[in-house]
Amino acid sequence: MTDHALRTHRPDPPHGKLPYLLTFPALIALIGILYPFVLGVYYTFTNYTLTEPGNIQWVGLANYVEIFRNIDFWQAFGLTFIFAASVVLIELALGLGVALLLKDAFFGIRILRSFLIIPMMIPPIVSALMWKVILLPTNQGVLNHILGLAGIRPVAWLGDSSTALVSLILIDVWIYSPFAVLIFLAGLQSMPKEPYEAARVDGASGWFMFRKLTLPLLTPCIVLVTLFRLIDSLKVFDIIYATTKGGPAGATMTLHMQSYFEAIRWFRMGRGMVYLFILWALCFIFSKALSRLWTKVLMR
Amino acid sequence: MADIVFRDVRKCYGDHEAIRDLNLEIRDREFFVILGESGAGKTTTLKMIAGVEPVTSGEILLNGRTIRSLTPEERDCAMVFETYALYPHLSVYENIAFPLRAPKRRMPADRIDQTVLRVARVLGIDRFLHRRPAELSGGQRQRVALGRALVRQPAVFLMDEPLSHLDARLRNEMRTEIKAMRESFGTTIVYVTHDYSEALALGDRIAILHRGRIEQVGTPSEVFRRPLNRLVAESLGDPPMNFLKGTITLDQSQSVFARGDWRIPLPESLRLREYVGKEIVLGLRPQHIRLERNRPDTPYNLHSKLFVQELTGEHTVTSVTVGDCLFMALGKADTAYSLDEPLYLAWDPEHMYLFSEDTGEALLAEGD
Amino acid sequence: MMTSRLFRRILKTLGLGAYFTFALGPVIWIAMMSLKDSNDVIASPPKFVFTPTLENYKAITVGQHANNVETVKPDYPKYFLNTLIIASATVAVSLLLGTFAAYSLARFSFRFKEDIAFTFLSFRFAPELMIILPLYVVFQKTGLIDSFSGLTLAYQLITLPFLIWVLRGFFEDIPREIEQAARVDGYTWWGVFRRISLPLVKPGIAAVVILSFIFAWNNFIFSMILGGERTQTITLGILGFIGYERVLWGQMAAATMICVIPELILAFFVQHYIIRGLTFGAVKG
Repeated sequence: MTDHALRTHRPDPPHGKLPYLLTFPALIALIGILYPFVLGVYYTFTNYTLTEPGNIQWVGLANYVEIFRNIDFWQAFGLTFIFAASVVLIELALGLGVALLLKDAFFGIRILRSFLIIPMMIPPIVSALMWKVILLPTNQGVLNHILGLAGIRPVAWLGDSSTALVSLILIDVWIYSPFAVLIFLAGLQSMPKEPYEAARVDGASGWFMFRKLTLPLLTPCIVLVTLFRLIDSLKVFDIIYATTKGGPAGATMTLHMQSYFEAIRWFRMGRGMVYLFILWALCFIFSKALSRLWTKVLMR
Repeated sequence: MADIVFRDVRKCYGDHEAIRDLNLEIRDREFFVILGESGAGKTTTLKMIAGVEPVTSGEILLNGRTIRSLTPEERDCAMVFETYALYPHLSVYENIAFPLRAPKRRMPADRIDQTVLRVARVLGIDRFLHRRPAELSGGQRQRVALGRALVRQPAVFLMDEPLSHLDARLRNEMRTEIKAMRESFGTTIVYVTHDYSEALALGDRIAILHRGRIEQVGTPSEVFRRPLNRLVAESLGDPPMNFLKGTITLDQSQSVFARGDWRIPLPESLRLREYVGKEIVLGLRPQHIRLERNRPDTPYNLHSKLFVQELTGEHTVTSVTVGDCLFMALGKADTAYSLDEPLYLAWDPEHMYLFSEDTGEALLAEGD
Repeated sequence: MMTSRLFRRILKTLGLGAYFTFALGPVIWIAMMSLKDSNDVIASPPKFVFTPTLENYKAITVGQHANNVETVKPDYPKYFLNTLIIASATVAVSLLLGTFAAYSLARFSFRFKEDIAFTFLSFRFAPELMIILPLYVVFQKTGLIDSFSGLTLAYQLITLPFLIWVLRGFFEDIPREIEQAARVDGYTWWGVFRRISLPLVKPGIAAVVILSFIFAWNNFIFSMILGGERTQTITLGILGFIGYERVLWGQMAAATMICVIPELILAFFVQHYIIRGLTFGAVKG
């Protein structure tokens, strides 16, 4: 009597094929999505150009070689990571800070928490447009106007290659920092009180308690915020499309944006898909690693 | 009506073996109690009968036919869950009526109404039929769970600790109620509990389950008087049986239980011979021990020191130290001992139990 | 001691005040803009005090007199309706396909279960264009480009993995013994699903329906690539107010308000579940 016997002896009569039957329709939809994915990977090895759909030729790794030799790719690659890292760090810090303030706010925590939903629920593309208006260069923009009251000269924001990326980070932080706040707030509110009371009895300082109690207890939240925000900011698209479209002078040209230009604007589907495939691989590796880390943190 | 047979049943959860080599026959219309501590596999056993947990290997037969291919709804069992498992979105009335509304029963509405009301009245929950389970106390919920099973006339009743969450008075009341009702059920009842007195009071027969294995099956008096091993002896009785380690020696062809200077003669029996020189455990039930101030003139005695005395209403539980062992004796509530007094434990030889230290197997039990 | 505590309190309040000004300021500013007339809206420096007007709302909903002669019929209502159709159809399809898959993943154990579940999840973390661009090619060949059915299918990528994962968590929250009790009480798995499981996850279903509706409503990239003139959605429409040939700040702001207010109202109903939804069920809060 071996493993095999055991398995065949697990009848569970009512089920059998049922679970497959129930997941089947969704699985079909999934295959509908997998098919374009595989097709896309295939395109990375071809010279597929949208203007000549009849003429698809296998070119092997030519697209990859070309792109890895291209300085534009490495620039986009670097920009993507600078953007993602900045966004994640700022949102983690801001999210934790605001959550800590909110936790012992003495009025209206519920109302304030409801307000936080607003930036998250507005379409990102629309949020970006709103900010485009606010960040208008010269005094026409309300942000410049307000800064002008404090004696600061108008900044071109999205229009200047030295401030464009910072402006985008600002927009992203506006949209998604509430996400971090809400997760940290949930984490803080579900925390046990006893260790704090014990630590206070022992005469621990606030900073000590934060470092030794709060932060370790918040590790799952930190991992979770990093997971979602890192992946989403690696593949950022909407807010760049609505504001700078990668400009000025490529200052905000991330991988996702670059792939759009390659494939849609310049019709070079094959090359565009290479960009996307690399971006996908990055997202996949990071999401897998972080979700594994998350389950590990939870187990502890 | 139904009889249930377990044939070499095993149940694994991953690597954990919850039930091993279960062989059991539950007779038709029997009130069968499964007794065991938590984690022994009692609930799993019930769920395998009900069909909501698959059997890993082996067979369960209902009326001589395998029920492997039967779905839970085809097996016609009614089950009371220890967690109640009430439907939170339904009222008490609808919870109890739920099994009657099952498609295959198709009971007319007025009969459902009658049945639900009758059962609710018996259980004393007719006043909150419109409430949701969340608005009830633990005891009330348990009665609803019981009611949901009692409205039916199933082949088998499966009851998983149905009285555990009731308060003491209600528990006794319900115990009597169940005992009275079983006559009218005319069905097989498999009843799971961790409470030995419940098991002894209710069961026609009792199975003692320990870590997924049946230790003994028998009538209440069989398992209580002639436990097959130390585990069974230990799990029946409160305070539990006292144990004292020692060896068997031969003293002029008379086998003797020896520990230190103590020598206690043992009734002659063939089985003891092979244990001579081996480690052995002597067992005594607290209610069989007499406490005496003067050395009794029976060889069945031990010298001890008073440790603590607790009054439990009619009885006194007297804890004494015998060497480095703690013994408990159950006595009348009228005697009080002082700490420096010498105390002797005395008992009749027929109340003595012996178990092998290695296997826990009984060598000698009352009435042997 | 007293003063330092008071000081910290003031500091904390100021911090919160600053953050919430940052978080709500832009929305308030856009709401104000939507009420400005065409002169006020381009005023430099920007005006904080002005006479509110509904001109912009009127222009994008019923139309506005151009050259005092003819009324230009606005496209915005059409975009709104398109989005409503696509988002509703998308959610309906996802719910139909996803509920059973979610229940199955939550309740039954079967081979490849976790692989299937992770594959669903991994699409949440894939760059959208990776799927959309090849899909664009497929759609062009099959004539699904700029069709409601095509977009509804493509939008499944946004809503289906989300719905399955979050709903799976809600199903897992139901104590297994409740379903077992119902089986013992004489119901088939389908009877149990319909009478016990489904009613018990009603709040969860409401939450995922509303949230996936919002996600579909908010989407931009799918409709930009796979949509067209006929199926243009609201996000594209709003983008269209600011183009090379025209810059209509006021109308853009009004359109934004009309787009956003219904979904904010919906979101407030399920705010308790939003974090759970956005983290794919990882945070139960």
